[in-house]
Amino acid sequence: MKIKVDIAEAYRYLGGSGDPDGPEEAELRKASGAVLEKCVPRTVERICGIRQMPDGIHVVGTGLLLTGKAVENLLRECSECAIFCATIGQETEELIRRWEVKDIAFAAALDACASSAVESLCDEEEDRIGGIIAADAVKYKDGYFFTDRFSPGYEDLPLSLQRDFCGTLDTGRKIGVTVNGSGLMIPRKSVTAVIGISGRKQKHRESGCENCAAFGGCVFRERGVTCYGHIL
Amino acid sequence: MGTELQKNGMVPGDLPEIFGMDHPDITEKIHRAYLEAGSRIIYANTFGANRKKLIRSGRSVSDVVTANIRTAKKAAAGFGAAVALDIGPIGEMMSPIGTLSFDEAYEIFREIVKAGENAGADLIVCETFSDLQEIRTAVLAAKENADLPVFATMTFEERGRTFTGCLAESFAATIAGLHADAIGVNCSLGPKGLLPIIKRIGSVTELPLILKANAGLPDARDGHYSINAAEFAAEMLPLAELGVKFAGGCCGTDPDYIRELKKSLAPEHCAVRTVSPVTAVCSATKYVASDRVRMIGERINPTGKKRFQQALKDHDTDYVLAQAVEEADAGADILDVNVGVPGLNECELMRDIVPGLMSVTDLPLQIDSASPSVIEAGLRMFAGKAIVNSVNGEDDRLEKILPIVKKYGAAVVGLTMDGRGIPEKAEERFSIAVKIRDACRAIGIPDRDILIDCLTLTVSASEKSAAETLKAVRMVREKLGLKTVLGVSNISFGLPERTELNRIFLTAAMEEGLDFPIMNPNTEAMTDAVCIFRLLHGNDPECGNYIARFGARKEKEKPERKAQQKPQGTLSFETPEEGIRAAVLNGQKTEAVFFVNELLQKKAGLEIIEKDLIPALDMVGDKYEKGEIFLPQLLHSADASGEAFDVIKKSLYAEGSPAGEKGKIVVATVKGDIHDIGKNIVKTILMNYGYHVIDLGRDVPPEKIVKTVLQENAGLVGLSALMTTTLPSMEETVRQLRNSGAAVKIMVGGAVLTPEYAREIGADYYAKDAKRSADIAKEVLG
Repeated sequence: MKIKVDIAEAYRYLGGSGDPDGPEEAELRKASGAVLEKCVPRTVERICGIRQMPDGIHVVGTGLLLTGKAVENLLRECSECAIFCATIGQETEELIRRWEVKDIAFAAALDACASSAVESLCDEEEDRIGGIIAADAVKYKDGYFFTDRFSPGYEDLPLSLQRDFCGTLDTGRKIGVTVNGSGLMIPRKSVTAVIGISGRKQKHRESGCENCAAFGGCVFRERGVTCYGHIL
Repeated sequence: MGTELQKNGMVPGDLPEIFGMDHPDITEKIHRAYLEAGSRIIYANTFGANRKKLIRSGRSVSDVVTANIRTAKKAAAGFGAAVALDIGPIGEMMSPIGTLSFDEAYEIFREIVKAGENAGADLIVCETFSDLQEIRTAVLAAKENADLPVFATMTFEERGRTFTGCLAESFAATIAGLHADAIGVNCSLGPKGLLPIIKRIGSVTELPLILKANAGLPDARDGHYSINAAEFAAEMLPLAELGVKFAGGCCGTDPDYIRELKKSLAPEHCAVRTVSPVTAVCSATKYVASDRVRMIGERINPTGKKRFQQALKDHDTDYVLAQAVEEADAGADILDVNVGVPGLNECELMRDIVPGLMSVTDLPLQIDSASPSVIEAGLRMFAGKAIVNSVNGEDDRLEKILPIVKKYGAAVVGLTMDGRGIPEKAEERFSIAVKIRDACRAIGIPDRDILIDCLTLTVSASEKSAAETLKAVRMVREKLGLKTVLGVSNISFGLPERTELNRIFLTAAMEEGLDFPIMNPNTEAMTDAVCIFRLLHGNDPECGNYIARFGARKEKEKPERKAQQKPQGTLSFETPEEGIRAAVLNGQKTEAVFFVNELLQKKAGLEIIEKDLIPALDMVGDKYEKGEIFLPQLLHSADASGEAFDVIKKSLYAEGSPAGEKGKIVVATVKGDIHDIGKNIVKTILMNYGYHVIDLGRDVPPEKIVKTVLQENAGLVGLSALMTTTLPSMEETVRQLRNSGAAVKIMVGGAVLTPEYAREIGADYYAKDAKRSADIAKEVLG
């Protein structure tokens, strides 16, 4: 899988706004290279039917139950979904940990780049799932459309579902991702998500501050800028 | 078993062990099918029968294990087959990768092992593990709590490593060292994919081999496995040549596969293996064979180092880990670890430091202590094959320590001295080496794991001793064929030009056959010598390493001259006060150090901290608040200030005066959470503002935080958590702190914290970022 690190995105994770320049950019480029060298990207997915029931959305063929208004809205027009888990592996964790004792500024840069890398992996995985679906030309002869990807912990989809996602996908055995006693995925730079599959074109989250979940408590807006470098 | 149970009515989401227990007839039927197909060892349906996985079922480990073993035994009875207690991974990662402690994991395995033995299992199999630390904990629990043979298999990816990066060779060396009875691979790949891996395992250990392969790879869309029973059997044929003793099928296989396997593999075709393992030590991810000179870094040792001793007293683990990283970066192959400081609990320190080291370096460790219990503590925690430093010719020492070395399969350093001291003549040192070797042989430690240290005396006190040491090294290598170790730095004690003397002595010793010099890898001249020696002895193909090291060096200045020159950015400042302020503002470490040294010539250290460093940091903090600079710049400034601060601290320790720290703050990431970069950033900032920070690390139980706060009389505690699911831990910690009666203020922080939640759980302050935590510290502690 060809994953990338978006320097500007990593800079944002560090609290920066807009594009980094000079020494900040050089440091992030160096961190990005180090992270990409250590990444061992792995993903696992399942494509399942779904049934909307009063207690939530049952993912057919699994014990997984998706609850909350957000996922109900997301999957309203879907008869199927893809659930997946993506990780960039344990090696990156060790890289960051080692630098924490050497140079914490660089460790912070590595951490930010790693977060960007795993987002990029999720994008790749979405494409991959698209490929798997498209291969079944008969079933999807009228075309198929994806919703946005949505993870446990977003809005009212409980974070505690992470354990069930990982159990359903057998992530421990397939890609080496486990969930600890507090619901934390290990390796940390791992993501679980659900994507709805529909016969109808789906609305996607608009960009812009008003549509962002952080609107109202945003640290960038507090300082008078946006995360993408616009001065308010 | 899982697939077969699903064919017989088990629904997704059910636990196979529970379903099997509730439907013993079905389980028995499945076992019987395999037995009829030719299996002579069956794994009972206990793979996930641990207390973590069974928690929602309401059943006890003992009941589940007993029932499933009984069913298997019932089936096996008619066939004279053996029943294995099958132990799979717990499902959670152990520390330091995850948050499951060694003690808790050991207890989980112990519970399963005892139940299995009581129920009548014939052997114990630990399978499908991907973490070396976890499988060795399981094997230890099995060996220490049951009297049954123990088989161990891990699961590997095509790259020859497990998910956590464990090498096939490291697995073999470590688990063979724990005296498992058979070892091998299962799952993940088909026979073709696993063959190279089993070959690698087979080259490192004489133990019988196990190969339990998948039926190829699963299809992405429907999960169907790629090879059929006949193809599987054909792919397994090379096993006979390799001398693999135990063969079977894992995911995607069924009784037909076993039937085909039985037809194509006959016991008489199994080749006899001859293995000649070599001297090697390892961590999970790095295998270090003694195929060239290997450097053992000596810097993790508090002897004679005030700063180091202080770090151990302050529980400043990061200081020790930073030493380790520095040595590793300088080229050390192995790290010696000594944490003996009078008045401190060496055992506890060793137990804490070993996992810490494992989390920052992949180098194998040499556990260095005079105390057998400390040695055992270190070996018990280390996931790999270590060296024990040391035994000598004294019977007492040999009797106490060799059994520990044997138990954990470590290598051992034998010093050629005894109760009478260090013998003068090489021949006398040689006879002690013989005694040590014989003692090792008597207990079953192989020759390849014995490393003889012929001891270096300081040449200024004992002129002829250098020649005797070198002679002894040659004698041990040639006459005994054993590997040698030597601490070289001692040679030059009390003389000038130490580095040159050490370097020549090191070279002479390597030429006599020294395999493992114990040295300071941070001294470039010393590692240069090793690099050149390796080149001259054919260990540097195409002179690659030599050129990489020396090629660019002509352009660089000599280190001594460099130190005398002023750093580039320093020439334009009128006063060093101006200079240090600019250096901190611009995050320039070298310049900051330069200016603080200038300032120390005219001002006291404490004055510099109050009048120059802290105001500079305040200016930086101000810019950060205003959004003129961001986190990276803040951290660089903190680092530059930190370097200056360290210089001042060193000079204060040297004088014997206290570092003048402004009050104690305990910081920790709460139990269940391993995100600590935010907490570490706060720690860096607070330390640079002059506070004494005690960092308890991550995943810290409330009790430990309370204990430390009370013990240290800390005025402020900072708790960090990154996820909503770890907030209850934070709440509990606050509760326990209040109940303890400690007069401490509590600040909390982390991405998921809000001022409202902080108030709700009873914290005194909410720290929205690192700068705010410094402001809070000022308010609370001054």
